[in-house]
Amino acid sequence: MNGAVDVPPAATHRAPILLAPDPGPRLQALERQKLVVQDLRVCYRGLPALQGVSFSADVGQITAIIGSSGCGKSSCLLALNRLAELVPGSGVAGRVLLDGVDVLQPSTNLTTLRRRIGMVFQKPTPFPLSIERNIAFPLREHGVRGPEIAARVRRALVAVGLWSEVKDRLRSSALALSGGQQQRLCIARAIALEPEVLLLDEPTSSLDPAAAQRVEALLSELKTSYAIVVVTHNLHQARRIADRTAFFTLEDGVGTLVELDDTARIFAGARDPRTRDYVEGRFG
Amino acid sequence: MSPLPGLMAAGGRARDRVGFAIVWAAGSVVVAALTALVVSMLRAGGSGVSFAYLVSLPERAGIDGGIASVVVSTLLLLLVALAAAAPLGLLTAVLLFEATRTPRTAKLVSRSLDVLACVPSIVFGLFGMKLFCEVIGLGWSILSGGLTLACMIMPVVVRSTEQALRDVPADQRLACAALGTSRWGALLHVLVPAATPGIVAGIVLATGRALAETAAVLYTAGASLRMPASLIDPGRALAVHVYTLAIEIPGGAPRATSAALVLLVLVGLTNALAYCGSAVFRRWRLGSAA
Amino acid sequence: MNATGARRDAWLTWTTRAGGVVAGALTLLVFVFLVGETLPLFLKIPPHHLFVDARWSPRDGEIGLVPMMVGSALVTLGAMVLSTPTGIAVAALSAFFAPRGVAVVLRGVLGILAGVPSVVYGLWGLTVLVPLIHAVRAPGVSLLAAILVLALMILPTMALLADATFRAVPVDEMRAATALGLSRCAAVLHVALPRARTGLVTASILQVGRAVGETMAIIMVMGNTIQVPKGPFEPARALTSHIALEMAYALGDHRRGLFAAGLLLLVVVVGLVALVDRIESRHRLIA
Repeated sequence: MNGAVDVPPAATHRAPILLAPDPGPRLQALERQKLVVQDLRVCYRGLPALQGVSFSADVGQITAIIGSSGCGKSSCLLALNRLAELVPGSGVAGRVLLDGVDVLQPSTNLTTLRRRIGMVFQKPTPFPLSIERNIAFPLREHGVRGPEIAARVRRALVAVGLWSEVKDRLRSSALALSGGQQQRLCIARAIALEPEVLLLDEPTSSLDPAAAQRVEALLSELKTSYAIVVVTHNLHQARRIADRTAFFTLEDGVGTLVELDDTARIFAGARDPRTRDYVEGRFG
Repeated sequence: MSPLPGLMAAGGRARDRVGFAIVWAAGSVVVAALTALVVSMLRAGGSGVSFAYLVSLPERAGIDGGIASVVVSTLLLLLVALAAAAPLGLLTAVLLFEATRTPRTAKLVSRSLDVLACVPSIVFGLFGMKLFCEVIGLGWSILSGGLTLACMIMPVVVRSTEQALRDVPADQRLACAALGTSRWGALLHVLVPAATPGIVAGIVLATGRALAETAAVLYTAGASLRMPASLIDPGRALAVHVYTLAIEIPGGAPRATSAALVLLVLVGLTNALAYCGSAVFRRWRLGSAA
Repeated sequence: MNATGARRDAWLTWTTRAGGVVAGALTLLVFVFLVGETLPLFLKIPPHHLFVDARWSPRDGEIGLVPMMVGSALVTLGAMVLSTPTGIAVAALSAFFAPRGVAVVLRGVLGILAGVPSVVYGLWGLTVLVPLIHAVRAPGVSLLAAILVLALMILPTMALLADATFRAVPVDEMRAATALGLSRCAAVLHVALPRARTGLVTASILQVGRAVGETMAIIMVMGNTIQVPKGPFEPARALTSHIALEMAYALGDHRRGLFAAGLLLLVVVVGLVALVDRIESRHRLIA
């Protein structure tokens, strides 16, 4: 724990504020939300890395996750589309409800799940294929056929504002694009699959400021169609684009969700002193 | 490390199942091949191998008796090959490692080694026969055979040593340079000691390669079954013994299998040594450093 | 740097350079000696006779190597067709599909198999495989036996090289593919294979070099009859076996003819290495 901060007893804050007072009616409202996370726990090699995380995300809003590094923000995202289990020795528990169905059940079809929950990583990850094939081949894998593919490729590229820049060189390598273009291509690749939720793990941290600004603007446009959850290091970014913000922190070496609220509340008048300290730059 | 070990998205489409079946079938082929190889060698030749077999001299062209003289010849061949290849290989590796100093020489030498690594062993045999046996005049001898083997394993020694030097963390090299040490000092006191496990592993690996070789020594060291008295005597390598027994001696196949089994064990031990030796050494160094 | 250090460094420069030159000159020496030995023959009989003469009878002035070239080519082709896809599949298993423990064991097995002396593969072929083929169609020693033994011998190295290439595929890309809901097969097919393509191509070209140059594994099972085989069950002779078999008693032009066969092998292998070099440098240019 940080010595400079007056830390209240942990117990009062371990219960997530979101579900605290009266779960009854609110839970009903929650179940209509696109994505509901209940008491998510992640551990690596038996050691807990993240626990006590409950929140929800819905279409039409951007949920930002902020917090110092190593507090489990990325682990949380990876647990939602079950990529966390690719890490050897990892375990995920709790409930992740997508349209009310728990995706952590073993019976979940992972292919379908990952189509419905798209993800974009910190480092742009274009495949060593042409721009067009980068978007087209996942579509084909998911059973899209014929002219629908070209139409979706175009729609996705238009949506991310890349169409005018690359329409004449769709068949050239995606690796030749600039970093910002590559990242927008990755977003296009994800939304071409018409997901319902879009997870972004620090999508702008490896981009230059101009490219980052474009991606931010894009996210604000896209939020009308998707439930967006974005992990970010950049508090200003959270403030600019997020409707709601979740603050994660380390508690006894385990990442946890401290509070989730409207972004304005988090940045001016957070209920938890740790959140206030963090957003005012006093630690973290 | 495997990038993403052990997990399949539970897709269940037909193509995925076919792909899955193909890779596992291919893996089974490999494991089955090793099992078949070892089992057949053990069944056919296992009974012929004993301590007496290793230490007694061959009789009746190898049909009877043991392989003592063959083992001695083989060890001498390896000794000659290493004595020639190791120092030369080390120097060459240092040259390539410091390639920025002599870029043109280093590039040429590097290209040349790439080619040398791919030269068929029978061609090395022709070359060694011409150069060492005839031009230098060593005749069919342990020395000729060993030197031919040295040429053959040179690329292995150089490349593994070079890699071992490159694997030394760059900050150690920088720290050395920051202290104003001479290149000689840096090499002698930092680089080579740190790279020793890799260098030794490479040399042992090259030994295994030389041990397994037949074609290059067939016409350079000869096929004499007599115990060599000196390095200019001819001698038969173990691999040559396997070949000769199997092909040229009627009814020699069972004895060839026994010799092959000994060869297999020796090569296996050498490779295990290269692998484990460097791992143990590395741990020991870490332990002593801590 | 003090004076002693400087002197030592100069000494170091020169010894390493000398060592390097000796090592580097080996290739040149190999060439010089092979050409030197072959030249007197080629002055008498122009080299194209290697390809056009009907018979191999150097003392009568005929040096036709065509049956041996065909033998080498067929055995190499057959072994590559079998071992390249299998090797890549095995590598895909160890790099992407198998659980970690299985992958480690598999790599161990491949390592052992890659170290098995070729003469042992040959002996195994002779004592196990040839009788099996003989049961199907006599004589047993045949092109097919040589192809199978050589394929088995090439496979482990091919698999290990392909495995190393696959494991160099960025984890990020495989994870991104999985995040798109691709099955492991699709991710390997569309992401790992394109990424690894250059590495796989160069690895298999190098294996061609090994196959062409292999002597012992095939000499024991191929029958070694000088003829162009009409089917897989017929015996044939490869260039390498040709040298190893006849060198024991060859003299004069006969011996020079065998050196010519060696030179031919060397030229082929150098060509393959140059090809690999070109592919790699072009790949670097793109990347």
